[in-house]
Amino acid sequence: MLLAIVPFLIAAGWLWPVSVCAGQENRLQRGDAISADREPRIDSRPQDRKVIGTFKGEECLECHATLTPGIVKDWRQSRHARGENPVDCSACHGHDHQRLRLPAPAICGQCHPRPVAQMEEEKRYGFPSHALALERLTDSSAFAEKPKAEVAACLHCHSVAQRCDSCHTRHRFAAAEARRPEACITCHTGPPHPDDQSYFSSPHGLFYLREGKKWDWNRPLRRGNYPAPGCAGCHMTNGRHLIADKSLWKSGIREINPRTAENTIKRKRWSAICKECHPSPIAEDFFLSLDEERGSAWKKLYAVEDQLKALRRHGWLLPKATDRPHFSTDPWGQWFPRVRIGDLEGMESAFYNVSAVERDYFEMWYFANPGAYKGMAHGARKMSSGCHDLMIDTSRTIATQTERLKLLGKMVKDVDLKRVWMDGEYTRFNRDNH
Amino acid sequence: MTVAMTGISHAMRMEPTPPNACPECHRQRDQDLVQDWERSPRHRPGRVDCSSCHGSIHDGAMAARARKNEVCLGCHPRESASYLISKHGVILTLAAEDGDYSRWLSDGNYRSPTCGYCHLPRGRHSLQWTSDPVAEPSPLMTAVGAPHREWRMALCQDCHSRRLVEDWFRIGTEGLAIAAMKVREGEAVLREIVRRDPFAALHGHVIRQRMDRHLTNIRLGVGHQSPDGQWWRGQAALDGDLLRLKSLLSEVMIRSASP
Repeated sequence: MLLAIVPFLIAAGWLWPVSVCAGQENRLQRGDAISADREPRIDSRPQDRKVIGTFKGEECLECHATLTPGIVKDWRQSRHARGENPVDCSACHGHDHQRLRLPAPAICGQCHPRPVAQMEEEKRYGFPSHALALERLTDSSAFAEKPKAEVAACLHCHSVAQRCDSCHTRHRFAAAEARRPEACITCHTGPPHPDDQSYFSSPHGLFYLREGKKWDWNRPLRRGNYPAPGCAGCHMTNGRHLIADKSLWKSGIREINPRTAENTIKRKRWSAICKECHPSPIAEDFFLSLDEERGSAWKKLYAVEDQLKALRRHGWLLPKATDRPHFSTDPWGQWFPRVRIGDLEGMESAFYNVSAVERDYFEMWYFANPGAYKGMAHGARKMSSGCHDLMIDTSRTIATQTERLKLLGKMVKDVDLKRVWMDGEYTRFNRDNH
Repeated sequence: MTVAMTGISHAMRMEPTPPNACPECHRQRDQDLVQDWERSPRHRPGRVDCSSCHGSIHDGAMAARARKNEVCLGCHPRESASYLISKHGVILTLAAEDGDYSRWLSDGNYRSPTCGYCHLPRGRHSLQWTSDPVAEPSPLMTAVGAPHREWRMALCQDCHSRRLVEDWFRIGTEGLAIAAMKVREGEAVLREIVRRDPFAALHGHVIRQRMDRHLTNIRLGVGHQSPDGQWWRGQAALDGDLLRLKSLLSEVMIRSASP
């Protein structure tokens, strides 16, 4: 009888709320507090109703040259403004002032079909990719479980899936600008993706910092056009907007088998790019040392993970699973509370409802470890070894903490920690407003 | 109203001008401007004078010189890091060569806002009033003429739509309020640690002080629209230190309950 009811309940969304289905949007995933500029799809705010009517490009400029002079000046210097038939305001934003749109890639694709199609094709290759960046974010419980104003900044970068001006900044949209490495660093920075730090401290990056200003960035990203590559030089050779088809190391945050059939193909794609400038053995050696680095990183990570799992097994982690706020995106959590450990579940351990020792592991996996990977992958070996040292230090801190927790675990058992972990000004606010 | 120094023909005096000589003449030209500077808490006379930013040679490029970001970056490394990584900062870095710094700091005259474009809006020299762009000025500040929030939002509208700017201010304000909640929750936890175990509290104070740094990163991140400062080095870092304080309290509670 009970078994017969379960599928019905699942279908009705009782046991398995829609929020856990990939790609579905619900209240938790929607960014109500977030500007349409960041995320056109989820704009829920009414349009400004003051200006009524339809306008042609020239008419837009008449008002906006005074209202928003900066963008008009910027546009006038762009390629869009040149020629007999300029691509004016209304070409991208529409004519009806009540139904203005922020141009999504599909609009840009009407004139620039190739790059837009290439980016669309990224979806075949999974994450990490620009095309799936937004989905990846809004589907994660880390995003869903937070008040949306707190995580608004996430959309700043992850909206790259739905806009072209993340790199081709409005309203000049210059390719020459997007080709330079700085165009990437607003997003590709910070603890989980220190691409800026690793590139700029690599031989390629140092070369760029020394001379890059003098290079002619109007030239296409083709072999021989630049003395050293910027980000796009390798990741977007020949201006190809399909980046994900070479992603085999997965930013270092997943352990991969470099020798699967798929990864062998991806590796060949990479080495073809290296070989444009470097002799073949150097490129091959480079990948071998990268494999070796990854192996060494995962050895360190798994050693710590085992310690944490042992703590969980003995019930020595503080707070206990029953003392933690459960994730509303995890429908089973309220009935079967459990502590999540390890890189596969680790994203959930990022935030506030875990113990210090788990958080240290998270930072080791998600901050130091990508630094070690990206340092190596970009040829910034010093940075990579520095991050490995940091991982070793964190392992030692965690080992010490583990001993403390063992000792504490053998002390009094009936101390109620629920209040400490489930209560507090922010914790309550978060629970009520995410 | 304010008349910036640019464009006014000077008797060109190529020898260095002593710092205290500037206000004397410039008060006659533009009293508001000199007063703004005299009232500012940090860039006030004796600390940062005219020549600190404008140089001391009257060569006709004094205004242009002071409009460049380089003038600010040396003294404000944290602010610079946050700005330079933002889209505004990146665009300005890339467009640095074609910048014409003889233009006024208004009317969208720059490809992307420089430090001065927002912090010395329209050439006003009342720097402290825009140090925190999303905060509403205190009544005292308003009394001495600090620009209203609406006035500051108008700066962004030189390029961005009103709707975007409103969203940006609203979300920034909310985000900062949430960050403040985390700090207050952390302080409450720390108070309990102090009450139970003053020795463990020493470590707690270190964590609490680190939270101030994350808070600054968020404030700078919101102001400069720099996502990393708002999230990874801001809110997410605050989460980490809040739970570290809670872990410390948990340990203290168990230890104090044990015989």
